Amino acid sequence: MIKSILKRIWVQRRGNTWIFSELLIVFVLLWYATDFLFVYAKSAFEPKGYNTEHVYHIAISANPNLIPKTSNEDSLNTLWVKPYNELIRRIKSYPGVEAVCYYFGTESYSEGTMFQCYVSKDTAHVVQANIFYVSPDYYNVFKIDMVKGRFTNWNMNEQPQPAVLTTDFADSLFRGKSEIGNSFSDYYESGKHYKVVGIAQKSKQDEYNRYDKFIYVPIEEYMIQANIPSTAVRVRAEEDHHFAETFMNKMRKRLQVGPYYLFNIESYDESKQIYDASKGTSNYIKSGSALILFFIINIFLGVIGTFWFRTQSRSSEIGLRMALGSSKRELRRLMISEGIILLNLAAIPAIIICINIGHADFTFNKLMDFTVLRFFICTLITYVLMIVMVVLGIWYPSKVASNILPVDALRNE
Amino acid sequence: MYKQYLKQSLQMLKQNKFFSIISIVGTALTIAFVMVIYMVYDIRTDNVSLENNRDRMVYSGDGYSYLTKDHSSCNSGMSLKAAKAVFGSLPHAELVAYEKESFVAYTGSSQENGMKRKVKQVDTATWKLFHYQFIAGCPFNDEEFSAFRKVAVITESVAKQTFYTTDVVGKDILVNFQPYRIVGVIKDISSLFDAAFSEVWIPYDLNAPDWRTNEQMYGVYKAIVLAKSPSDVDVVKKEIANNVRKLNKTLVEHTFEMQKTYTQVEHSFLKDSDLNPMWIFFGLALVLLIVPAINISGLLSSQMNKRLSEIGVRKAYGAHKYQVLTQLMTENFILALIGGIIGFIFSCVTLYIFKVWLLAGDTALHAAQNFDISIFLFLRPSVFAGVFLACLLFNLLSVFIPAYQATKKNIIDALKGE
Repeated sequence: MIKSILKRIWVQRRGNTWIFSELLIVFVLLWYATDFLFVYAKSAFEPKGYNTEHVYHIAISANPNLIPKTSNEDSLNTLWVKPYNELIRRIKSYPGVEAVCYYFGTESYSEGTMFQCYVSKDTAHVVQANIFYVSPDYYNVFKIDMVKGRFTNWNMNEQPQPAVLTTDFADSLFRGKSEIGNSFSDYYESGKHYKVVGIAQKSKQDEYNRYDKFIYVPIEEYMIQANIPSTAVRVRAEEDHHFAETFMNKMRKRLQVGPYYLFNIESYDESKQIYDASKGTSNYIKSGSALILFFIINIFLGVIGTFWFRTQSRSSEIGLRMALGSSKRELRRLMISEGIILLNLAAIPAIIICINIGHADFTFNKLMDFTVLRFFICTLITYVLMIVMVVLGIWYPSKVASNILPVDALRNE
Repeated sequence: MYKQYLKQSLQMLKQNKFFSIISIVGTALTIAFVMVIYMVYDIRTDNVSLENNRDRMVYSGDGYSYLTKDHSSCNSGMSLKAAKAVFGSLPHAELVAYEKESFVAYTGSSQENGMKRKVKQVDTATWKLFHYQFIAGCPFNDEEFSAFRKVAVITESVAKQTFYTTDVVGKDILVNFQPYRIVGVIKDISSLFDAAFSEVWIPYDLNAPDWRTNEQMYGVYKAIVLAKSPSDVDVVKKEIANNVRKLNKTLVEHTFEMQKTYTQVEHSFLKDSDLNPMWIFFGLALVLLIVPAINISGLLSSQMNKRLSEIGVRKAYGAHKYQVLTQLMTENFILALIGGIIGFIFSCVTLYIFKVWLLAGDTALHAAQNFDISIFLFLRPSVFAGVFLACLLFNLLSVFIPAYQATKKNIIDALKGE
């Protein structure tokens, strides 16, 4: 049967050129769009290494008229650091708050990165990592995924200072021999030594980014004397309803401590939305999806149109087949098979073109390399989409065709 | 003659309902997509009311400085000193506006009555760059700017929400707890205008000392250059690069880089990449036109087979090949036009409903309000021209080959109904 279909396709090659070229071109375009979206989808599903659900970012600002203009350590402590600690205490006692922390560092969903360079015993091997200076409760707020160890003895006064590294950073710094207790030092500041107390899972700054090296160290008091740290709270899931507005209303007055005031509170989900939109990510994803929809609708229209005309122009052949004993089912299957075989014929050169596109580095490789698995999955998805469209498109014309009365069909000739 | 074409086309439509519907749906879908893309590109890059100099603007990049010998002390950002060295003397520029980093500040009449607002720190050149509409007062002038007086220009909404009136010139408003005297009130700006948008404008301090970092190259300033004419934009970019080179000769241990400067188009789309957005849009539009064109060509081709005898008769009666071709193309153009109009209406509706994610730049997302689009943005002559052109192009693409093939046929073969 396949052979006769192939023969017929060849005989009618003039008429088939249009649908063949359309299937080929759309296959390649659809594959490109699918590949593009696949990369985003995969990045979105990979874990970040920490959890920002029900976590809120609290922006504290200082009234410039009330900022202490002193560099005396004791005055700074009383007028600047102590009020901040009081602030944290008040936030902690707010109903629904599970944990509060404060930190400096590479904020999620923002452009800023803070990084430092480190060396292990082998001082020639320098590795750069994104740094977080965090308070002890940081772990409870962001639920860092740990591989080994914990945020133990989290005190800036410990010598050497405790540090938590992500696996890729640790492996790079210690050349694969990363263990709890390993020591290393800061590259630029001699005299600053660290000890590994925990190793965390790979981390990234936001979903649509590659994994990067991270290090967590205790926050130091002198940093708080100079700047206002970022503050974050984790809210209990049951209490997370309109949390931001209620918090803003209730705490505005209560958080006017010393020079500080509550400027804003924003959930990390909201920050993510704004960040993704500003990077154009949400745009790209929506555009990609719209394009995919556009292509498959076009295939559907093209196939249904082409085969509709075929039905009409081949009515005599159909009538003949029916007179000679073909069942309705067989006729429908014949038409659908013809469509599928046409698709397969078009898919072969299309796949070759896709391989070449991937090879020439024209695919979207910022978030993920072009691997064989990626190619295989995307090609499969594209093929399935197209088969579904082809079958759907032929289904109705084939139904009409199989309902032709042989007498009418033969009479028409 | 054209009345006849029209009658024939309508007859053809009625006779081939299925084909017509598919053709119109396909055309409408295509034109809708193409128009949305065109309008997105146009609205964000064409000269539109407030930013009516977009085709002459060049935006500065971030500026980047570091210690030359080991690339440490890297800092992204440009000081006023660096900005003036790079953008100060550009022969082909009409003016340069400098802007200190904009920020969000608690703005209001007291500690209790206020909210966060976007604040821009600008100089007097900005009032010549953007076409702001003042409903009260006037912008701050050169004297107020150079004396670094605490004056501010605010928008209508800020005035109404803080003081419940727009008659506020002379009153004091607290910006981050510092009092500023209001000198002017501007009509609200749609956050569609990325570069011009703000809610409060205050002067920056011309004489403030720059940070000492990296030989005073580090800072938080931006520059927008207005070239003398649209064709001077590339020349201005080269002059900027030249000035960067000259600046580096004066630096002892550090290097300053201005990797990118942006035209309006580059600033609106794909800021992070090296691809030319205009070509991307063009390529996208082409792809969107070609695929359905192939569709319709295929359908037409099959349909032509039915009409071969009719074409044969025409030719036998003396019609020239090109006359028949023109007639066929006109018939299908009418179909394309119907589909095009439906598609255009559909695209306007889509653009209006999804306006935020299609048209918004960075500022629109942060501004909770102010994203109005006037209906007149859609009804500009350039948009109509765009639709017509798209229909024409589409028609040409889809009809040409099948029609040409059909009319080429020998008269006898055609009459035979081969």
